[in-house]
Amino acid sequence: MTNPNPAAAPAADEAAERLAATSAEDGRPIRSGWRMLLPTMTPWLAVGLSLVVGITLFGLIGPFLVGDPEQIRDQGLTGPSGEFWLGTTQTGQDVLAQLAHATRGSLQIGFLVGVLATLLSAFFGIYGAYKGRFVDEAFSLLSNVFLVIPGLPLIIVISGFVPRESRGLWTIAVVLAVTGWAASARVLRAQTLSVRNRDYVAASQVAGERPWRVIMVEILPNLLPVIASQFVFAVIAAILGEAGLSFIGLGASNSSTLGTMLYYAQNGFALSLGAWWWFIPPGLIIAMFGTGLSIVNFSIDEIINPKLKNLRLHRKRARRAARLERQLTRTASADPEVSDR
Amino acid sequence: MSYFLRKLGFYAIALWAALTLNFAIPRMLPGNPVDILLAKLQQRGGTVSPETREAYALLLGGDDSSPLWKQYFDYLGNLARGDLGVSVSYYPANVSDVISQSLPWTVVLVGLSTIIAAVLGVALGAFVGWKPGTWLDSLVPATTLLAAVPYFWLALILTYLLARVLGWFPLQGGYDVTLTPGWNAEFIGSAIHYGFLPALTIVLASIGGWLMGMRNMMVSTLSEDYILTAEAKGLSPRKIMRSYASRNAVLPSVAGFAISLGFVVSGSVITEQVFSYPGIGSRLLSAVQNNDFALMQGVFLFITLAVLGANLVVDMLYGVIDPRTRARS
Amino acid sequence: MSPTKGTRRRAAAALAGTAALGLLMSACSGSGGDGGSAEADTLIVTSQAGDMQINFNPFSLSRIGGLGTIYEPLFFFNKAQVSDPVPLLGTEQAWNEDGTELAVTLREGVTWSDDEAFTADDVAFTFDMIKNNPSINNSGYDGVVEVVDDTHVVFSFEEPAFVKGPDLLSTPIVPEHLWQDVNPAEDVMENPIGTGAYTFKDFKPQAFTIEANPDYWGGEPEVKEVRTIALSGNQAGADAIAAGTADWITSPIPDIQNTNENFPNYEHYTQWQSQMVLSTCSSAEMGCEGPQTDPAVRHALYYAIDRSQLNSLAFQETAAEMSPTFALTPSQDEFVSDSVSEPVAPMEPDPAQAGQILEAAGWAKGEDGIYAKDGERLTLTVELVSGWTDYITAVDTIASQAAEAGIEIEAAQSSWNEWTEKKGTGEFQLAIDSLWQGPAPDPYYLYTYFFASAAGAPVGETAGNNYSRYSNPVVDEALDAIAQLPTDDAEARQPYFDTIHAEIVRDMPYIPVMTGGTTSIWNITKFSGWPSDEDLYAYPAVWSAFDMAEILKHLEPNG
Repeated sequence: MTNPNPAAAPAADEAAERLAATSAEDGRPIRSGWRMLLPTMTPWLAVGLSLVVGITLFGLIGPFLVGDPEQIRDQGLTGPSGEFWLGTTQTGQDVLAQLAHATRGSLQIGFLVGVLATLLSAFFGIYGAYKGRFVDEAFSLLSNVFLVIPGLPLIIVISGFVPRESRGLWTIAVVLAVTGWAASARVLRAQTLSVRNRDYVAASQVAGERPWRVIMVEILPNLLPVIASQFVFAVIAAILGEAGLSFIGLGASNSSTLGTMLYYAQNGFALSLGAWWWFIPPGLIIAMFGTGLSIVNFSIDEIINPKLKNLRLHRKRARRAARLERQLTRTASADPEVSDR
Repeated sequence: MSYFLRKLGFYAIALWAALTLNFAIPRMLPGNPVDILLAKLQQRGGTVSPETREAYALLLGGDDSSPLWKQYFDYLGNLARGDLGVSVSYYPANVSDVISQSLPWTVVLVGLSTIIAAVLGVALGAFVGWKPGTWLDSLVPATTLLAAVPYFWLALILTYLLARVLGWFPLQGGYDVTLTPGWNAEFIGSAIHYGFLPALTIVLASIGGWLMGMRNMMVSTLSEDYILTAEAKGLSPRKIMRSYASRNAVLPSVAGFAISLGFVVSGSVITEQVFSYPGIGSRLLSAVQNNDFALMQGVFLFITLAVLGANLVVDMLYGVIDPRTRARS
Repeated sequence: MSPTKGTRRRAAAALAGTAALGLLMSACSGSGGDGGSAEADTLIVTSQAGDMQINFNPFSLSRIGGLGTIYEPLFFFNKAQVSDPVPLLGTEQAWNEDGTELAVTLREGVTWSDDEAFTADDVAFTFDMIKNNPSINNSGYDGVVEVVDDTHVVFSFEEPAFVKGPDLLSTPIVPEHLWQDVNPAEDVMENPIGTGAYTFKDFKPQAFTIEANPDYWGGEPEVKEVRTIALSGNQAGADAIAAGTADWITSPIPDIQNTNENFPNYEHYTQWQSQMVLSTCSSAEMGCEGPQTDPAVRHALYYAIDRSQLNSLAFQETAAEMSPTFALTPSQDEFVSDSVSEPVAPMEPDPAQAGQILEAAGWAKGEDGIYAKDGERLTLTVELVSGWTDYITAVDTIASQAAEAGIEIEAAQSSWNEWTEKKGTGEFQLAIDSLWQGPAPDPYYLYTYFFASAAGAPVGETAGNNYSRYSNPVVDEALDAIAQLPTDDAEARQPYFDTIHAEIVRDMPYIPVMTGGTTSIWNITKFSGWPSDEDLYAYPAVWSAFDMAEILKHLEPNG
């Protein structure tokens, strides 16, 4: 990632910055209310979002556009060609078609686990912290225990025991969710504790609102960015976790995910045969999707922790100042070739 | 003092939960080790006559028909005596012997690479957070990419490039097997040479988390009042970074270290498999494949104990270095 | 690989420096690297099941080695071709007429590797020990052994026991003076003492070494050391060949047919023993359910399979033809009945014939192109083990081939233990699997394992090896009759084989697919004397212990 030409990076930044700066400079009113909960569109966020959206679309629509991923052809292992953009596997199956279906499978797992884990962590984190005292103690003990019990070995042990009929997508999702919710429950608990002591929460409690209403109306909106960020983490972890499990042959049976694809590629000696088109793309999709989500998460982080955002704004201002200064000196030296930026 | 007591109490409960989980899982689901052993024998070209089946059924014993609660207390009792049972796939070896053979490998590999990743990540993170806007910022997305890459995929590609194509490192194993393990330069050198790629994979895949965490904490810390005060006092930036900012910002990373240990141990299971590394992870997988329940439970227990122990140590340390922790509880 | 080791290692150090991990590498001294393949008379083989635990007990299933190499049997039976047993500790063996007594002459002048003499008492001790310990008696030995003199023993049985001969004579013999106080089921024999061509040298969980026995009765073997290294699986085995760190593996490698071009030091060699089949739960009387209980369906599937395509897509061209009589082809062709019209399963598909067979049995093609009968579609589920990628590919391929013939095949993957359990209890329609051979090159054993009704059971109860639940009194009778005949009396046995062949070809409870190849990759630059088509003196597979011991004795280092 290190750029050999240091000038290039700021240049790219600036281009995007001008876009962002227009709103900042025009003296528009400071964003408030719900809009504070939306991330600022930065170039990084744009990159992240387009990765996530692109791969999601590929997983959603792709399977309808490609051929049958199971179709066997006598040609065997061949590289990318006009007919098969990503080549074929050992048995002549279309890698692109498999990739589309596998991406869908992985997204499905990721989404399922994300939702399940977020629900679990929201329940144990928010409800526990809101109720306080014994419930809080018990819940946070539970989440701490789950946090320290190593997840993957536990998953491996459990998957080793679960019979195949029940080892479908859902079981794997449940297992991944059950072993993965604890960390976010801790984060949510901490956030809830700080929110619940605010005056307006106390006020609505005094006003006799029922607990679930207080949580839903007064507390939850404040936690949305945190929940969103934990959800994103859960999705990344789930996709990676499932890929790892499938790779060692313990994943969801009869389903096609990026992990199983890698498993077959590895067992078909894809790398040793130089069949990069079979081995590289599944891993790359996981990596790209994960990166995209992480980048989106940075932006969410900025909402949760405004200091991070201040940093970015501060940095931007500093750079603008430096540039102005530079321009001024250049114009002062009356160089006619100054660009008209 | 109550902070430490509370923590000890918590770990006692966590330990009990892990032990109970370990007891419950195999009993919830069926499986027959005799069939697995026989199937394995057949696959290796052995002769499996009906007599063979009987012979092995006899050898491995039938199901224990005593009531569940009695099995549970027997299990706890056996554990207390350090008796983890007999491994079916390595019969008649004890589970504890099998594990003690592989444990040092994992501890050293995972331990060292976690420390390297943490130190490097925290140092880089402190730097990135301290000097925002430099080229170092590009480390952030780079490490994010690394953290999102599947461990084993990265491992395989690295192996292919560095070991297969360039031939710099051995493809697999823990050391040159012609040497005798021991405390001599030759063996240790060989172990390092063999362990380099697995360690590199673990470091690459886990460094991003450290870097991000530290960077974010650093940024938050930098806007604290005491930093302003320090700046106002005219202290050199270097001193502020080292003595004021980093020291405070690193605290959550210390806490995170313990938790990440768990994740790294988990991730290393697959890494070990990829590199044929003689560690505990490969044993866990072979136990799963062979329905070797006792060994599975034993390995899981050891991993859990290791993670719990590391967490306990870090928690205790944390209580000492950050007085606020004790005050809060 | 490149011979310039020095430069490579320096380059490695440089890389480590740039990776800011130089501290690790600086300790790296010279000798690591490319393994022990440098020693000219050391042969390196692989065990591909992860780290090992010391166990040289020849009767233990978890033994890691020593069988054949350290502990020798009386005779060696070469499963690779029909041939006479090779004398080892025994020199001659003869049955009495009715098969109740087996006289064995023992080799003179043999010593154990601790210099004690080997005598007939050791043989008697070994067999008595086996009989007294049911948990190690995996061949069901129930005879009485009598010591005639130092070099002669006689085994006697209550019933004719011709067919038990190979198992008996392949039993490893252990020294009485060291084993009398040993629990043979549980002792791991950390320091094995045998009569074999090799003695134990050292053990590490990642590798163990045996070395040539200078006092071996057959002369000290040329290969001075044999090291077995522990690897994690097929990929690791293939990597070991690529890196040159192993001299002999028995597992697939990429592009196996061009092994010698890709790795000039190595050559590949394939032999065929395991007959791949689609096992069916065949017997409706025993409680099997599904279309596969109709023999017509089984025959139709047999003709629907395109074995050439299967071989190229799923098996890297390492599989071979298969006979529907289940006698190995070509090595056991002499057993095949003349009355069998099609001694070898067709390599090309014949959907038309498959259709005719189905239509003759009352099946009719539905609108969707799939046959149906009485409203039941011809859909079959094949059970397979997740992780057995060649079989998974094979079933995928068979599924698309069967669809051409109007049969729908669905694959269902499960773990090994579930799969084994399904087969055992009969809760399956089809399962892809392979049938194995007995202790001698004689198809009799396969028939008793897989076709005898005694090895079956009703659905719901655990069956022995005959999980197709095939039950045919004619076959059972023929098998009983063969057991009464000397194994070398081909003429007397053949009529019974003819009967069996006619029955099982007609009923086809296991649908023949192909004979699976066992491919070894071995180093031809370092060693010569490997088994070949011209001299197939043993079955070439690292994991086949007696065969491996025989091969080790035949090898010679080149140079």
